[in-house]
Amino acid sequence: MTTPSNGSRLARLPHQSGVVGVEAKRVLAPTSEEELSGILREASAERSGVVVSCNATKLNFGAAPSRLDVRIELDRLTPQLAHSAGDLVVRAGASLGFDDLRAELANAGQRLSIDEVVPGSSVGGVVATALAGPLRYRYGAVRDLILGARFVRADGQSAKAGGSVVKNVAGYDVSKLLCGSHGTLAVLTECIFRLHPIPRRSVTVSAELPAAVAAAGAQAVAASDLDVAAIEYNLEGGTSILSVLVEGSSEGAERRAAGVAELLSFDSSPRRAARLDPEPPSWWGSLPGDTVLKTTFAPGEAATALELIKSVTDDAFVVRGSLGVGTLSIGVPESTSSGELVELLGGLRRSFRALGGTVQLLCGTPEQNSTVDMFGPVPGLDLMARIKAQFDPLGVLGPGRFVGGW
Amino acid sequence: MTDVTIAPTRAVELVVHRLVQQLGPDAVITDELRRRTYECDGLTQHRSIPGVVVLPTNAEQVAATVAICVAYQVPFVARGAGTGLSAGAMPSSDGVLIVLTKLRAVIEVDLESRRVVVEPGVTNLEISEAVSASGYFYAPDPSSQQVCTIGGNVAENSGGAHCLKYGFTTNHVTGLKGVSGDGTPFAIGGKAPDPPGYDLLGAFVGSEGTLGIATEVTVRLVRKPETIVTLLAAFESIDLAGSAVSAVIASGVLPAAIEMMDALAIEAVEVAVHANYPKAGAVLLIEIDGPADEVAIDRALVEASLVAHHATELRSAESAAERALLWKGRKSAFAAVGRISPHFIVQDGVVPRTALGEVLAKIGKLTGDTGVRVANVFHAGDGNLHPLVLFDAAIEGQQAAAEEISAQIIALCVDHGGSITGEHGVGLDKIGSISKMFTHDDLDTMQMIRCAFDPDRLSNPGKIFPTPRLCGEAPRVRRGDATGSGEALTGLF
Repeated sequence: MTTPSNGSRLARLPHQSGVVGVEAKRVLAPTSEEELSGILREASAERSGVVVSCNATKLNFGAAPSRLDVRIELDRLTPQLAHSAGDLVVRAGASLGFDDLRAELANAGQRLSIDEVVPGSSVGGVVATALAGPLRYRYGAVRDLILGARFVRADGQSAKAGGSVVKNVAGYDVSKLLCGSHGTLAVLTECIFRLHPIPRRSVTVSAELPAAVAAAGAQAVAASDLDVAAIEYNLEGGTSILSVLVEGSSEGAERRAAGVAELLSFDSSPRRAARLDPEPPSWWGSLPGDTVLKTTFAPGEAATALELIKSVTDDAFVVRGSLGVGTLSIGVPESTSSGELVELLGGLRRSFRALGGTVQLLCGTPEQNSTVDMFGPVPGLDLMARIKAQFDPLGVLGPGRFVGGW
Repeated sequence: MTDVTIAPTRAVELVVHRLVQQLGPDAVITDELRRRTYECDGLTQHRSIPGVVVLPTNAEQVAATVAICVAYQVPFVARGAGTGLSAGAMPSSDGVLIVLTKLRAVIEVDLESRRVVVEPGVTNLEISEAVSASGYFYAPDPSSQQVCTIGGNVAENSGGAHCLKYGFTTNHVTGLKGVSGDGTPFAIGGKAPDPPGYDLLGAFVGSEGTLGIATEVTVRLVRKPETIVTLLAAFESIDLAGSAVSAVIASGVLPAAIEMMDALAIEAVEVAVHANYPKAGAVLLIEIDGPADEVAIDRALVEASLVAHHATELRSAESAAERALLWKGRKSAFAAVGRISPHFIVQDGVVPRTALGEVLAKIGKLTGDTGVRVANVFHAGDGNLHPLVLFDAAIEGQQAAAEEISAQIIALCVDHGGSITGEHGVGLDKIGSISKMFTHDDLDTMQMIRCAFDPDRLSNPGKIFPTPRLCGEAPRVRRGDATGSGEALTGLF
């Protein structure tokens, strides 16, 4: 690769140049889409391995790159933001801080209904990892709220997909394909989202309930017409809590929260009365640890899923997730060896398969990510391999980082 | 039935022979008269008699049919009820039309997981009917929901009046089984969320039958709201109604639906179904649903917005029967227009909500002295316009003028940052417009997905994309200049 003439592309001091224990030969920080494009073009020409990040908060969400010639940091791209409040739509640069975006939208009484699961994330990082928190129960996951995207392909070509209107079926929905693709298909530079008004009132109803009762409670709330925004569960240090978020008008949210509390008052449980709080509990929407297994299951199988997880974990583990959606994450204690992790993951995968679900290692230590098959069996992998071969035929973007090991 | 020599090409003849062997003679239609009944979808100006029609009864037969097409490199088109409005299901004269209406089993209703698993020939409304008594519904509700099939909904990413609040088909499909354009079977997702890897569901839903055929669909159910209120508001002009829509959205309320009709559309439905709409420049139908007290509060906010924007009349419906009456006019609008005009074009475009007033005013000026009229019936809440361009083909020059006006409406949508289609799809009809919205490189990128699923472009060829991408090209590096010429540049860096 030629020496970049533009000063901004000079290799930076690698404050964190490693990706899952693999050191990058160079770190480049483009300041414009054109520079990014040039870097990717050169990388393709040289068949380099490239890993893209912005705030480097989720580099441990993926396997070790099979080669890492260049790390591209997007944090010097201009963090653009164009908010069309009247249209409830925002166009945000990939490098924009997710909390900056939220603050800006809040000024207009609006929000992007995606929780910031990992603090310090950029807009592009949230989309690339498709990390969604509790609000997805009511508002959908990242894929459901993205309307369009601008991106640079592995060959350096810029392109866009979707648009900035809430309804649009012109062409393929490439934006959705890029959601959760971990930067292995293209590099996002801009995302367009659908927004919602910030509800006038939010109330969280929390009840300490044994796991099986909590699952039944989640089911009862979901089956009711109380129209709640999120149904979350947390099992930490042996304390099992179901928390339900109710949003709406001042009086309405209170009344429905009371309705939820009523539903969660099971006669058979050694209950403490459900509590109504203006703020959600401290664990709300955060990951249950540094090493996290993410399970998914048919929502109706929540009780079985919880039981299965409990049967292979102890109080050193944290279990947390969206019971109403059908996903629970397991925070694995630091003391767990890679060998134990492999065994745990294998057992859970067999069990969750029967529930129509999957188990992935969402994030872990470099050693764990390198030892463990993070993604497990992937239905449709043959089609995904062909998509990857089309978008990135030279295997430049995130080699070895995502499913299939490409 | 007489045996007819079909054979536009030798390949189709060979395919017919194999199809009869595989599916049996009753499932294969070669008679020309019977084939002719499938020559178009709901957009009747585009017609082509299919080379042969097959009516498989299960997923295996669909896969076998596709395998035969792939073996002989014969194109195929999947078709549900044929209600599409973009000629997306128009057959190939030298290909196979695969009609999926016999795959109509509701495979599983899982209320605990709030999922239903169906075959593609099940109609949209049948899903809601299957779960209605239990308090659930399937949210996407295209106007044709009584007859349109879920397979077609998946292909088109169908919306409907209530997608303002509830989203589109793509937000409600959690699993798909089927066969890709090159015959690869796939099973992605299911009742659980977040299948690992790339979002193939997101890529497939809305791909207009160009990536393959879905033979099993898992959809999400939504709990029926506690309360539904429908409001009808009349305005002196469409501009005032448009401003009222913006005000409602700005007030922080998200209604389930906001529909608008202009004076000409109102006139048409009054003639056709006597919906008893007020005489007005425009009416809005606004539906608010949810918990009773939220609906009461939202209703007050909406009514305040409507009054502040000079609504001349306000009606409400709270019972199902009253609601049905208010909706009757809206739902019959397209058909009703046929009573006041011998011919019309149904257009489908999207503008940002804030541009509604401006675009509608410009559309009003497009007709000039052509004699063509435009009736507006549309999903105002999400900016999805359905202008009906009315003309009389018997009058010389009117059809051409109507087509020109229709094209100008789409250009207006794109100029205002909108889309060439909100729900009808590109199909064959808008293949000439998609380049207004996307560059060559945008379209080329989309077709990388096509190349992955259907490298030989056998599945619904000739739709969506004006210029096919050649899939077998060797890996190459593109020059970053404006030409996007894509010559191999290996070694230049």
